[in-house]
Amino acid sequence: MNSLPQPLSPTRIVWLTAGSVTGPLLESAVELASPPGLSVVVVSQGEKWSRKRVAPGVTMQVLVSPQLAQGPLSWDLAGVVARCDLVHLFDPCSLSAALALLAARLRGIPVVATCPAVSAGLWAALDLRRLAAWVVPGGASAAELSDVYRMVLATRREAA
Amino acid sequence: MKILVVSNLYPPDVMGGYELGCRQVVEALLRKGHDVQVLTTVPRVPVRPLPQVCRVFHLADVYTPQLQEGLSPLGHVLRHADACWVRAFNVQVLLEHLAEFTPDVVYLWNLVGLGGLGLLGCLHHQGVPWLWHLMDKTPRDLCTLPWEPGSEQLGSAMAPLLDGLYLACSCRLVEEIQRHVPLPSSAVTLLPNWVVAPLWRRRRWYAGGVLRIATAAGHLCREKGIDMLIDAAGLLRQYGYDKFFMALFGRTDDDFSRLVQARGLQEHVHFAGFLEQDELARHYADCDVFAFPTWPREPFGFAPLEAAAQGCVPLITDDCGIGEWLVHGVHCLKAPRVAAAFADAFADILRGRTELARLGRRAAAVVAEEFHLRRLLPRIEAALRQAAERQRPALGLPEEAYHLALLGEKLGGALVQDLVAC
Repeated sequence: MNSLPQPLSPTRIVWLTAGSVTGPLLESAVELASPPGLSVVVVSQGEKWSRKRVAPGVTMQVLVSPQLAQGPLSWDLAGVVARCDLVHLFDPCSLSAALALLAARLRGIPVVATCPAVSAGLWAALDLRRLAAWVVPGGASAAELSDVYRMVLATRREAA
Repeated sequence: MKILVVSNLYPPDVMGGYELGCRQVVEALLRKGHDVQVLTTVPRVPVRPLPQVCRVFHLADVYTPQLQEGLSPLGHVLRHADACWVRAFNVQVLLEHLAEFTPDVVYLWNLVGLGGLGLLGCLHHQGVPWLWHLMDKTPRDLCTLPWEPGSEQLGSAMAPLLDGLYLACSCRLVEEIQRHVPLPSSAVTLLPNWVVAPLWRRRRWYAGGVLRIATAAGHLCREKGIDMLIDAAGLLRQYGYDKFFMALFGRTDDDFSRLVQARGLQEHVHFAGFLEQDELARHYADCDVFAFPTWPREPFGFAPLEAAAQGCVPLITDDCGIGEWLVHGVHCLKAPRVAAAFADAFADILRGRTELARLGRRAAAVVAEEFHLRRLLPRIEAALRQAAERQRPALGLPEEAYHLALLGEKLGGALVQDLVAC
């Protein structure tokens, strides 16, 4: 018996930012997710958990994160990362980015990072850019990001 | 099969039954013709080299009591992180052995002290299949934050690393782990501990007279109920019984001998020191009861089974792991973990209310038939074969696995540093 055709699930991309979510960042996410087949979860960390849909294909999620000496760090990040196809680290020098990078690579999920203005933290100490599939310049447009994601995901599919 | 065994300790560097059991299985697998290599830590005591044993891992020693004494709370946290989370050095050692030995399956034992999460992450990343023999709550220990809140999240976050097959010695152990760590029951096969020692001819079965009571542990401590056993001996004397003798085998740091003196029990309680398993077996053949007043979270324990094999009837705490495998009044005696209950059980034997000889014969028969390693080894081999079939492609190169281990080690360090800052 032939099985019914399954609907294609959208490619799910997690954007992780260490700071607050800015307007331009959200606009980029909306633009990126405007064609169907791609969704973006913009993840930040704060004192109160929240999750809301801000546009078709775009969700904002705040994880509760204890404020450690070196920045906020939420264990829930591992779970959020586990459910996505690609992780983009906007602040790769942060502690939470390091955890997300570890969680993603242990699942074989590719990581894209935005090149920091000043390399610091574990990103610099351990040369973590080598664990990222791609490093994009700060201020990359949604179209440029879309191209990078498509290329990274295609490479991953080929490897699989 | 090519089997890479990973254990924190390996005899003659021992702490207790876990690593002794590991050696017994390794030797049995070698006799069956498997290609076995053991990867363990640089020994804490001088040992003779063994051809199939590589003692190259670094151990974060959380087992030597003298090393724990005087540690500040922060020192304990640092030691815990080192022992349980990630040690990049050990990951590199594992990667090198995976490349050289190319095992069909990795057979994991106790990983505390090795940076066990790092080793699991490495195997997961490299797609190497494994079977984990659980005789302690090791997965839970590895996923525990030394400060309690947050432990559950750590267990959940590490769930992918725990995706493998398990052998576990009791349901109680599995349940204890599952309270903190998502260990799927379908991945676990229950397998009791075993005996391998030769059977000695008993010179007598108890029929009145002096009752010979034994107990043994790698480390005689309060968790094993040694103080309680001494209290039970004291109660027996208070009840007016004096025809009994207790021999306590094992190393101890606690000052139990002072307790013996304080109770005036020098003629009844004797500390016999640490003996090898074969020597112990011979002593068990001369003893009538093996007292095991261990704590409720005892996963199993080898010693009561080894005693039972020699017809020495186990008297065990009624809710410990081995209790799931032996029936009270048929193969053993069970009692609540209080001195009075153990004293009452001894008194019943001394009064002739409990017929010890019949229990002893049944215990010896069932252990020889059901709990000998030669009977259990085929099940271990089957589990290893099943695990080996779960091989999958690596998620990246070995260099990446090491890079991730470095990252994991540093992240752990950052968490500990934060604790310092707080």
